[in-house]
Amino acid sequence: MTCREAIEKLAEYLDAELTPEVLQQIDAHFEICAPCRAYVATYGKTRELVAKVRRMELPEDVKTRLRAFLVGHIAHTK
Amino acid sequence: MTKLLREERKATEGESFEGRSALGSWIYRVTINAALNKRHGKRHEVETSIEEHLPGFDASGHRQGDLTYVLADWSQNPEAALLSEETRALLNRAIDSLPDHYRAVLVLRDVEDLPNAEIAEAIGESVASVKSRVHRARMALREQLTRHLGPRA
Repeated sequence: MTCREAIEKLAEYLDAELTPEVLQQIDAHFEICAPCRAYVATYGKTRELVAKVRRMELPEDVKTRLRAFLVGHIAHTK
Repeated sequence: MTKLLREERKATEGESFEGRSALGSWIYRVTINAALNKRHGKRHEVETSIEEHLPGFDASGHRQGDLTYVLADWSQNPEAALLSEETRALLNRAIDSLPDHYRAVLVLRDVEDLPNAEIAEAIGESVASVKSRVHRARMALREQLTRHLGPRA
């Protein structure tokens, strides 16, 4: 497996969506390829940082109002 | 927001599938619009071409570039450094600069934590297309973070 092929499959690798055969190939590649090990580690961390930087909690009063609105919306579309 | 939606779905278990489905589509559209509109007031900012931030490979498919750069692994840097004001600002700018159709799926996948299949359904595209765009968006952000955080001097 080449670096290009390994990196192409990273999202599926981290989501545990690869077949055992492909998973074995990609792990074998990581074992011999330091740049790809650095890549997968920083790719995974990028995903985490995006969530941390962009995720925000709604204030409680907004949650309460939104919940009331959703319940009304569900009743209306029934 | 999607967490709230899931709680609401649980709370209204007896509702018809159609009702929940319509509500789902509606709230995804709201989320997508929010994802598209959240630009931190920098609407004039030019969207970068995503291609320039994708990793480079040589003819045989192996990573190419300066060795200290391709080996740079900043993932173990202290959390305080990774979430410093400077790094947050850089990452926010990088996300804001993604083309709209990349930013929207990235936010739905990595911030809102929606499964690829639900995103695909909500925006009317194939799961393969969603996966590919999320992956390219992450690679572009990773590249910009690596330029900023590593290699260490």
